[in-house]
Amino acid sequence: MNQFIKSNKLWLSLLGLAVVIVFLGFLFRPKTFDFKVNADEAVKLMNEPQMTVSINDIAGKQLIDIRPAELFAQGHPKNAINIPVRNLLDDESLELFDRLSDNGQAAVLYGSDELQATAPWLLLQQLGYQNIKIMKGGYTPNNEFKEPVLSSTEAMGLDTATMKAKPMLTEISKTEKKKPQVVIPVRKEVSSGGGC
Amino acid sequence: MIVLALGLVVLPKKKEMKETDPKVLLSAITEKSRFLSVDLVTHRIIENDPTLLLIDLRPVNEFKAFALPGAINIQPDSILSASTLELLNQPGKDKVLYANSDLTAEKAWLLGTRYSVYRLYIMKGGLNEWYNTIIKPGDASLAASSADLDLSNFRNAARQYFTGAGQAPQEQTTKKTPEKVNIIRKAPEAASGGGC
Repeated sequence: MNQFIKSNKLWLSLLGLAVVIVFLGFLFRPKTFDFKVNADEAVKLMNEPQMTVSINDIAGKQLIDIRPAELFAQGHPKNAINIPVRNLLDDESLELFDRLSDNGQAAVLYGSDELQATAPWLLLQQLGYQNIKIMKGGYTPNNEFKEPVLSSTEAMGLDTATMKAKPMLTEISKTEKKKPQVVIPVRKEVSSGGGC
Repeated sequence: MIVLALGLVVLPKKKEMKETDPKVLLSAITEKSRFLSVDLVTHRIIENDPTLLLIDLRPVNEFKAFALPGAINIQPDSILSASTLELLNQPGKDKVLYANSDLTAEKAWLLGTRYSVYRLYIMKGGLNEWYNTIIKPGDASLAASSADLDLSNFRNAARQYFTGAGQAPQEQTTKKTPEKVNIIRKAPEAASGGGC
């Protein structure tokens, strides 16, 4: 045994060093995110009305503007912080979210419209930032918050009576196609009359 | 052995469903290609595109009143059920989510993408946008270029496809009537042949 160790001393040392490096690398690997919310809880978040904040209910809440920096520079509400969507998971952003969460302060995410903020909000919710809510509506180029128009909500704007016209049309077209088949026997009657 | 034992302790547990990394998910949120226009979806419906799978996320009663041809009704709270995920993971299919607006589809898209559903899209604007763009008559005078005119013509044709509205079907019936006359004219020829 001792002879084996002595003869392979160099290789065994390198192997031991490699194991240590891999282990240390695993311990000090870059920080990864884990979802704090499982699938069932995430589905429940989809229909959580308490997470939506109306324009009249933003007092005392930290506004987070996720629009591009250029739009933010053109105008924004007082005390709003600009964090463009692609920077939401940067270290600085996460430090801010952690600080707000630790202080028990609610934050409101908003964009140009509600759609722009929906996916980022739901992502942050699943990462455990339950104090971050979403604005109902968005911030317009006129530098004001605006509630969504009806067609941008989940209210149905479809006139189903209009759409029911299609089955009627197919019935009509079927009867029209049958008419030539009725005419063809008439031609046979005439030919039989001439067969003397 | 100690190192290996420690490694087993530190290793993450195997997850039941494959999850997308949150940073990758955030990057996917910023991709505009995840939205399909109502014109494109309409075109693919009319062409009977076999790779198109429409997922209607509206309530059952609204789905029964009207749904896009070939759409499957899935309630948002079952978007991550085993049967739904099996449906969404069909290879070779573009899964297009829609509800009345974008909001529900956006949330469903995020959850589906978190659980690694590929080729998942949203019909931009939802069924309300589809109805306002395709079904409601547009102003043809707004067509400034040939491309606009082509789009306008396409929407008019699509409107007829879905509703039967317009004068084209009536014109077809009047054109068919003279064809019957041509068939009847053959009768006298047969009679003259028989007078030999």
